[in-house]
Amino acid sequence: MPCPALILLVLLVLWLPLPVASASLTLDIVLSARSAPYLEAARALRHNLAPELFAEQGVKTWLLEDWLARRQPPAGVVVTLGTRAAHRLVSLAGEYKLLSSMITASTYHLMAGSTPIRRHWAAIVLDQPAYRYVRLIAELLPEARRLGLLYGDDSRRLLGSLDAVGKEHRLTLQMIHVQPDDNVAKAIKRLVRDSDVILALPDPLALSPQNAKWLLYMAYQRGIPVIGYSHALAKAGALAALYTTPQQIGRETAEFLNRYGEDGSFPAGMHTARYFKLALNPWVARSLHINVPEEKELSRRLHRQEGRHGAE
Amino acid sequence: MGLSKPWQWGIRARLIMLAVLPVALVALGLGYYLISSRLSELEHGLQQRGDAIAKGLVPAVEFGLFSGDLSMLRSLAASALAEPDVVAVDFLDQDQELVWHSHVEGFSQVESVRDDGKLVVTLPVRRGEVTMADFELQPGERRLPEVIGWVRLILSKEMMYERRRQMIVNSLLWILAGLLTSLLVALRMGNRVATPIIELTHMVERLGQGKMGERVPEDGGGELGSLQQGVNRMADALHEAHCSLHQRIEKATQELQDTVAELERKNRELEAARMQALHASQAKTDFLAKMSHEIRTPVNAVIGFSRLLQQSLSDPEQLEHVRTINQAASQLLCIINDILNFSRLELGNVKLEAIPFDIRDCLEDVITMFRPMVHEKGLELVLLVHSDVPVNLVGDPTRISQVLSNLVNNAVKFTQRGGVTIQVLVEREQAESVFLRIEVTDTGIGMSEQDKSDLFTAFSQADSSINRRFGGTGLGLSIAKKLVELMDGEIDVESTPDVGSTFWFTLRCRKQSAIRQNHRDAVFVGEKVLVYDSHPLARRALRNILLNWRMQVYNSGDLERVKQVLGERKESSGEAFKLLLLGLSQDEMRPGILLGIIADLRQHYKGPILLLINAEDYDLPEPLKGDAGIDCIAKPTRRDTLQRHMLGLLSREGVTEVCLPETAEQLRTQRLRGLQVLLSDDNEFNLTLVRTLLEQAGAMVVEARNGEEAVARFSEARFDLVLMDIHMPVVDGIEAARRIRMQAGSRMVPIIALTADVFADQQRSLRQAGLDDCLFKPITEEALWQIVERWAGTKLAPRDMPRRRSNDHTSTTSVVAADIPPQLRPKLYAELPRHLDYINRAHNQADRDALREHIHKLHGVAGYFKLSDLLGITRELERRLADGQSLDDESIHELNRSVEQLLVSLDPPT
Repeated sequence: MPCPALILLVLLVLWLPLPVASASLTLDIVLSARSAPYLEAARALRHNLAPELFAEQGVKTWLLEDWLARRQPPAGVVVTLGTRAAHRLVSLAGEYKLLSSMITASTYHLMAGSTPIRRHWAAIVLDQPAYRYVRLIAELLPEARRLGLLYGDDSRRLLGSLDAVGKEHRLTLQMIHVQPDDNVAKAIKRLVRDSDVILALPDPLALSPQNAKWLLYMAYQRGIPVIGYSHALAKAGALAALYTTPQQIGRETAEFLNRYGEDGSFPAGMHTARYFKLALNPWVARSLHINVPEEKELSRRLHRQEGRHGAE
Repeated sequence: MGLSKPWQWGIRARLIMLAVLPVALVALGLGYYLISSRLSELEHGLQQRGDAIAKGLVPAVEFGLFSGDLSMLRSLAASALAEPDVVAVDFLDQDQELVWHSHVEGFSQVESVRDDGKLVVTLPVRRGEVTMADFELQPGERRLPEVIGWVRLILSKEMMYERRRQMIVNSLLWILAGLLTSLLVALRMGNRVATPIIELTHMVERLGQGKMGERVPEDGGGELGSLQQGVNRMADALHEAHCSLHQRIEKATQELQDTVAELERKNRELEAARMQALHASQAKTDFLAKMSHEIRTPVNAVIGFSRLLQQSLSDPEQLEHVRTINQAASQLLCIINDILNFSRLELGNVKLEAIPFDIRDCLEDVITMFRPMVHEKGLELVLLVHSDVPVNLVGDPTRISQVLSNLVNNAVKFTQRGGVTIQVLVEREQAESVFLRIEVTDTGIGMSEQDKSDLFTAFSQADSSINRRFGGTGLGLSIAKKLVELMDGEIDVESTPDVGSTFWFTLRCRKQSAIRQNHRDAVFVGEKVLVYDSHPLARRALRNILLNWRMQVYNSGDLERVKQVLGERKESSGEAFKLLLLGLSQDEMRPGILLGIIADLRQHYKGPILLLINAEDYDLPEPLKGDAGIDCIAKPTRRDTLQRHMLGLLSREGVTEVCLPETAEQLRTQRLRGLQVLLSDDNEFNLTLVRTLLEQAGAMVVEARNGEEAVARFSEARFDLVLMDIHMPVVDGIEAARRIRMQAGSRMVPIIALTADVFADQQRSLRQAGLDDCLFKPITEEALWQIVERWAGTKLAPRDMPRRRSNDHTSTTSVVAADIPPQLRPKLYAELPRHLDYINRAHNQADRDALREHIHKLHGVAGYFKLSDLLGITRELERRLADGQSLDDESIHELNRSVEQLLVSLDPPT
């Protein structure tokens, strides 16, 4: 007859929350394209995966088409990098866990609204949270009171939080909604006239690359600084910009997977990137006669406000 | 200059052309290139400026069009209009609708767009964009930025046209100026170069005309100056040389004239001397010929009468004297014959014959001739014809015999003991001809090398003492040498003093295409014969003859061996010999020895024995005379003689049934028997001779003495052959033949012309008249038999034909009375004076036709009897008459003299 102590020990062992994979977790990384940002993000993802959770041989990187044409069953967790892979895989059936990374918030919302929500689907987006922009404006332009904003349907969800956080820093939102057939030039003229600082958000309907040029041009003519969401905008004429790099999003994704590997948690829904970078255009600052701190100093301040030290 | 060809221009024109033409070509080419490229540049430049202004406007206009800021557009248009050539500026929206227009004063927009004198530049205005994302999250197709409007610039070309006109005018002016400058420079330089050269040219021309005093000024400078100096110096030197040369030429001319005069004088002397020499040589030759001819007649008389006297005398001393006279006369005749032959050869009058002949017959004739002399000296004479020597050849047997006779004569003459051997062998054989080598070897006194050096030179003998000992003119070998050379051969001698000599010569003979078989040779086929002769070559020669007859021959030079063989082959056995040929030496011919030999042989052999002895007349010892199985002949013997005696023995013995072959005469008689011949000739000699020959051959001959009679005779009987003289009275031969041909059945009868004319046109007319062939006079028997054989269908082999020496005239010049048949001599003796009388009478009466007719008849007579001298004279007279010349008295006199000489040589009819 078995010993009761032994039985108890077996039950205890079975009950204990053990690592999900226990070195047997498999991961498919599916790239939207074989381009540098996705490859960099994938490399950062693999680099930051906990090896005790994800064995090297269990992690495979696929191009979207190759993954779709594969003959073996998918891994337990599938990570897509980029919009194209995300769109394609979110509509496929499967018991694996799907993490759509390196997409914009508007893409996430588009997918979430057009397909039935999968059970195990999460997303990590590149968009910065509203408070981060407001904190940056407060640091750079403490005198500014009117925050101008062109928005379309895609960025409408940000307005609430932006308004709330802006009020905390005595900023009033000057918002102009732009429809597809609207005369953007007039909207920009009006916005520039009524704002102290303008925030350019990633909304294709509101701000196309062509319109952005004239936004920057007219804002420059009126001496109004523009805050952008990418390093490219900072270089094109924005005073400053906040953005997340492919390496940072890869790392963010790896950390999400490591947490899943450690405790089995796979929180569904959209997650913004915790890691970001600051870009400051000193020539614009000089042209607009704005005294700005050093980029590193400012970045450190912003990260400090979010509870982290130094630029990531 | 303008009219002349470029290569005929003067040096001045050439220099100017040389300088101006390349410059003009380069200037025009370069001008064209520069103008065209400049025009293109102007056009291109205007386009570029328009493009540049428009491109500069496009980014500036973008915001104006984007924002609809007209004031901004206006100011931009004004700044563009400030640029040169820009006459209007349009800004259009994205739908090509005009947003703003500005133009200079006086510009009409509607016209300007359509005006060719304007340049329109239109560029799109695209919406500029900035890069907003750091990376593409959703890569898609990159598109060109959106067009938001257009910039249109209108530029005027007026100023460009004006600049173009100015540029063309300026370029052409510069080219013209360059050309004029180069022309002036070329003229200047050309003159400076050409003038001295032209002066030099003129000077050289004048020098060429002999104006040696001409000089050019030495002002050319540089190389031209040097050239002028050089030419002047050359002219000086030329002048001096000219003077010197002139003097030398005058001197040389004078010397040359003297020399020419001297040479002409010497030439005249030489020509005179040559003519003298020629005349002397001709006179000598004529003299020799005539004298020889004149001497022959009395010498013949001396020989003949001495022989008659010899027969009538009984006193030994007188007989000896007469024999001496006979020998001396014979030697004299030989000498005269040699001189005659040599003269003919020297004059080149000897022509070789080319007739079919049997080389063995030819050689046998020679040995038969010399055999008595050989036997008299107790020598052995052998004729050895090697088996590979072709029998039937074409050549001149007379000349071969003449050469061989000379060599054999010498060999016999200079050999006192031993013998003379004649060998014939093939030296070289070709498809059509054969080179024969004939050697005459003696065991005589021989010669030293020195003696041999002048051996073949005329009038020289190896040793002057020879002449004294053996006589002779020394012409024999030189005659032989010339004859051999005529026959494409060579002659030489190998000799050792006191041992002997071998004279040899080669000759080329054509081979007969058809070899005639002699049926007589088939008589002895397969018969067994035993030959004995102690002389090896004589034995071999005999053996060759017998083998040629396809007999089975056993030969030996040992009598004991002969006896042994005879003993082994008894008559009873099938191997017995049918005949025994014994060639006897001088010793073996002694009666005692011979009887012993025969007695020994008879012990083993009872059959026929033919003795070949070294003597002309030999009396068999008495015991043998009654033996019908023994016969004897002199050796070497002719084959036909040998054959006849062998046949005689064999037939007497009844050993074999032998059909005796017909003689040539019998053969001919049989062959022509029954042949009907119509012979028509007005010449009695021709009639007699041809009729005699034909009748001897068995033919039936009907005579006719003119053409009319011939036609009548032909219609009276059937003939197999007609022989028709051409020149006949009443109706000539051609007309007679034509009339005969008109008679029925005459077509099958051959008509043969007898004529002395050999001209081609006459032969043609003969054939047209229906005559089938020609028989040329003088008629030879060979020719007659050949014609008869050809046309009457009889077959007479040459071997069977009567042998005559030759029909060439040179060989017959010496033949006068001796060669004329005795029965014809009286007729000839009567006929000659009669013809001569007619000729003289016609000459005196200047009756040219009669003269020609009688000379022709005399020519026929001379040809008939081969009276060569007379033949030559009459032929020449006929030729002169035919050419329209008249005959002078001297010619007729010469003819008379020739006929008289001929009559003297003929014995008058008794």
